Amino acid sequence: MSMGLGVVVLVAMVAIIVGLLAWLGQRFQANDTTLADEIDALLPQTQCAQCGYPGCRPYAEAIAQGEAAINQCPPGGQAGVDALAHLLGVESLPLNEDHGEHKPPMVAVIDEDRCIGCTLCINACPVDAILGAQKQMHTVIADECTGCELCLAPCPVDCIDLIPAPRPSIRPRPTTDPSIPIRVAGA
Amino acid sequence: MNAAPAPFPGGRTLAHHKAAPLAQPIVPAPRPRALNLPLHGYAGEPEPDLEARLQVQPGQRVVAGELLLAHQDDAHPALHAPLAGVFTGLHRCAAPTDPWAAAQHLQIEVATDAEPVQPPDDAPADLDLTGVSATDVIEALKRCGVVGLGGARFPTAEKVRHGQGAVETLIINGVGCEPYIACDEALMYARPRAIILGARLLARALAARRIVIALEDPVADAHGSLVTRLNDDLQALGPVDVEIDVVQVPERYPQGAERQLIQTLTGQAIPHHQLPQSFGLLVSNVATAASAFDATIHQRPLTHRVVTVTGPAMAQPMNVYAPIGSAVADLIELAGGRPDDNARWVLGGPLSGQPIHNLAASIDKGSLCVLGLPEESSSARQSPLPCINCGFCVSVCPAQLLPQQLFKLAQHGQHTEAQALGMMDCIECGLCAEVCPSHLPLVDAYRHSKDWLRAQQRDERAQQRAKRRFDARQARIEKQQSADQARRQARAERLQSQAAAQSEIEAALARARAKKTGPHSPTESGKTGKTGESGDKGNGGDPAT
Amino acid sequence: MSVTTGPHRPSRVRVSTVMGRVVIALIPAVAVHTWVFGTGVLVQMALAVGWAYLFEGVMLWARGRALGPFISDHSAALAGVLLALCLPPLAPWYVGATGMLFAIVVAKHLYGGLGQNLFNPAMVGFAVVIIAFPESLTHWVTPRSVDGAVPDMITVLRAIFTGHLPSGMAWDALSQATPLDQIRQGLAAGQTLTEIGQDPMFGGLGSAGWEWIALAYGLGGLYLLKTQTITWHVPGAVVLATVILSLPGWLIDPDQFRSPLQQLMSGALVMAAFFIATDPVTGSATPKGKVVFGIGVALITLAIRAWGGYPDGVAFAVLLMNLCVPLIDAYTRPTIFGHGSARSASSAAKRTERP
Repeated sequence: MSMGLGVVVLVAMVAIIVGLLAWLGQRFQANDTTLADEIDALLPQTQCAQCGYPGCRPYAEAIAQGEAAINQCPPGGQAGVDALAHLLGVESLPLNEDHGEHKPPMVAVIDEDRCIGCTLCINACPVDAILGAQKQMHTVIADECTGCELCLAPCPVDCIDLIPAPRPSIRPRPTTDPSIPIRVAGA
Repeated sequence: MNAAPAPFPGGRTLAHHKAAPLAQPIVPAPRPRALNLPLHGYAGEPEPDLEARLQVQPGQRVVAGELLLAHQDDAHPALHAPLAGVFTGLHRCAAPTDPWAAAQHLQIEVATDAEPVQPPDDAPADLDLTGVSATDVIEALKRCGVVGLGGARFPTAEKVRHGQGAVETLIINGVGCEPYIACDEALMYARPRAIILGARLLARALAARRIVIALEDPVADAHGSLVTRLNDDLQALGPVDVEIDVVQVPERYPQGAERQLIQTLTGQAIPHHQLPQSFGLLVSNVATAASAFDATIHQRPLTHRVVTVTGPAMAQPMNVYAPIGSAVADLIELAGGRPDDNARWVLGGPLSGQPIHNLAASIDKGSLCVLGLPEESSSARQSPLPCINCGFCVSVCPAQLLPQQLFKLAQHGQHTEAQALGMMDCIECGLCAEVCPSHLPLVDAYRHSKDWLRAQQRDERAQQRAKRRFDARQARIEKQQSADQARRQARAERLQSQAAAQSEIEAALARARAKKTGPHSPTESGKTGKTGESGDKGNGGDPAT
Repeated sequence: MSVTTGPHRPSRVRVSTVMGRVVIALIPAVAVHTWVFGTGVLVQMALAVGWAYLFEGVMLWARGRALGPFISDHSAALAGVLLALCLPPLAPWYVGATGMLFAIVVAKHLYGGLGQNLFNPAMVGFAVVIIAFPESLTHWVTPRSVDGAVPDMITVLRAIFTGHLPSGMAWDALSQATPLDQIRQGLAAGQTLTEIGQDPMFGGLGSAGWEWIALAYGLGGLYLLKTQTITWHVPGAVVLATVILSLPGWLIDPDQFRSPLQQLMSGALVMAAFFIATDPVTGSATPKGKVVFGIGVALITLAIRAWGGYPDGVAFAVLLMNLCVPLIDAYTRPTIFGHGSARSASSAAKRTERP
């Protein structure tokens, strides 16, 4: 085969690959969501303000503008930090414990015998998950509570507790290792 | 009518192992010492508003059929006492198949003189259904706590209400396609007329025009053809306003799964995001139809069901008419099995059933079968080997998934990737594990992955709700602030001029005077917050005092 | 009471059953091979299987895996038998040993053992030896049907264990180029296929001796299909693609292009179709993917035969297609039940009507 043919073949191959990549690049172009939207989607939406911003959205915007570090969200935990690092294409950082510890999901419960109906917690709740009125007993809509703890501090009689959120049971991953037989005690 | 237009993909023909339990009529369960009725919605989540719905107090005597838990809405059916006794309260005990979850149970100490309930007789041939309205049927389904008895436990009243007007053809599913499970066949032999009449009642509630009773008829040679019997009963019951067909479908597992059955009968694969109702179809189990008959005509609440207790570990495999809440161990002993045997006890069939972790646990309305398989000797049961990608599972999968890839993803915790490959379309039929030459626990891995994904979806929905509520609150606060701001600004502008300020002061003084002269004189509302508030207080009083 | 996970009724067809069936299906081919080329193949097989188990055992021990379940899965034996069938019957012992070393240690265990390997172990082993020992790989015994005799046991043992023939015998008398080699050299020398084909080595169906072995592989393949150990997709695709791809050229110019029959009956194409490309671990798992895989194997094999540096290209074709499997799998996923295009809603209810 002549040298010329080889060159033609090579050029053609390069052209095909470049064309293919360009086409794929167009086809899989990111849609028009902003970076802050994408960051916000990864945040746990507890709206707890532990990061130092008044909610998840403000924190997302701060990260997008490079004003905040990615490791300030305790409810998201290390997994959340890693996800943010992956999205932004940066090195992951350990969770900054100054902002709080990672805890399993919690919900607030109001001890209805002690509640004096002061509405302070209602004003503090970032997701309007507390129902009540002046001098009326308050209660938490458990399904809407994010466990942010923001209602704890304002309560003058300390009648709000956080309990672990009920979690649906997840059946265990089966083992394929025969050396670990499952035995149920007492059965 | 014998033809299958387009059989569902995958699947496998299996030996049915049903002759032994069908050799004798349905056996009534003897009086148990206690019953533990499991409390959980059909999807397994805890019962809502438990305390408000509970109709009995701990220590209270209950009679057979007494309402224990009231029907709340269409998604949370009623629960009744199967036998007379004393309600001892709520107990948290282990669920039969999930050692990690403890479910709430309603416990009944059965009275020593309580008579075991006999399996009801078949309906008389000359029963007249005229005068029963759709509302009657739905109300009876609600009142009697009828749920899908094919295993899903979906409240029948809700299913019917959703399908009303949209359903043209009601399919009555008598296809007990899984080996060993014979409860549907037993019921079809025992109560064919009740099934037909129940189907007609359901069709009436749905305003459906046709009924198709589908079945496999696996033991036709030994026990007589069910198709013939049902057709004879159709003749005996006389002409009716709906068209009724009895269709024998080919024996192929999982023929009895809702969407697979529809595919076989109609050639239509129901899209994964739609319900059969969208195609004018609704599938209901034969036992559900018989229950609907009992509920509507005899006002009999759903307190018992037919459970097949079978398998090589049972000396006498049988179909038991068992009260809901019976202990698994009692049923095993009744069928001549020994609960302390080193057998593999399974709730459900050999393919889709789950291992029973606790034999003291009890059956619920969706329990079809208690199966005892002798545990193979340790040499025969070898450890699982790695997947060799043989593709046997691919060829049998009725959902047309790639089970081996899903298994690997599930075992490595890559649940989101598994979801993209159709994990949630798995119907847990168990065929992949049945044919796997490496003996991998495929279905258990899928159950883990699907539970994880469901929990994840629940969290995501909660997150989105929290985000919406936070945004709405922010918007509200902002709006309020800008309104305040605007008002302050307008006021400040008004006070700029001397005359306006003067008139404002005079107006305030006039209001103050008016208030002094008579406490009941009408005040201009809203302007003075303080008076408004004190007025409220005077009128309403303090509820706390 | 012990609680174990599913399956509640473990399949009686185990991994060892699957591998064992493949070995059984090779019996006709081994028998015909022995008749055509002498007992060399049996010695090669014994040696290769021995090496296979030795390397398997050592690697399992080194990786800290249980010896019992893995050594009894027959997969090592299968790799040994397949490699031995590819080697010239009189190849020196170290050829097989080297092949098995790369097959079991490198291709299989360094990738994670049973079920994890990316490349077909037997083909990796064979590819290594044709590159490492080109000279030994050309000494194919002349088929019995051509010169009426095959080497006796003593010749075989001496050749394999010492690398030399007994005194008074010459390689030229015992062996000849394979038909595929002959065609390649002939075409390169400017001969037409009609001229080359005059040689008795091309037999009745295109390749004396080899054609019977190919048919024996096909017979074993039918057994695998019958027992549902393999599906029709891979062998069907390989055979059909070979015929379709080689037909136009042969119709246009039978002097330059081989007939489809000759393509199939010479070399290892039928063996690959039923026994190599059907290896589940390194092949595609989807029905469509298997077809693509089979077509790829046929295409690359024919390309190497026509223009490549080796007379037969089955090993390289399989290895190249092994590389493509993840891509093939990703693009050939079956449509999930209920995800296909829906038919009209109104017609569904009507179809339950009495015919």
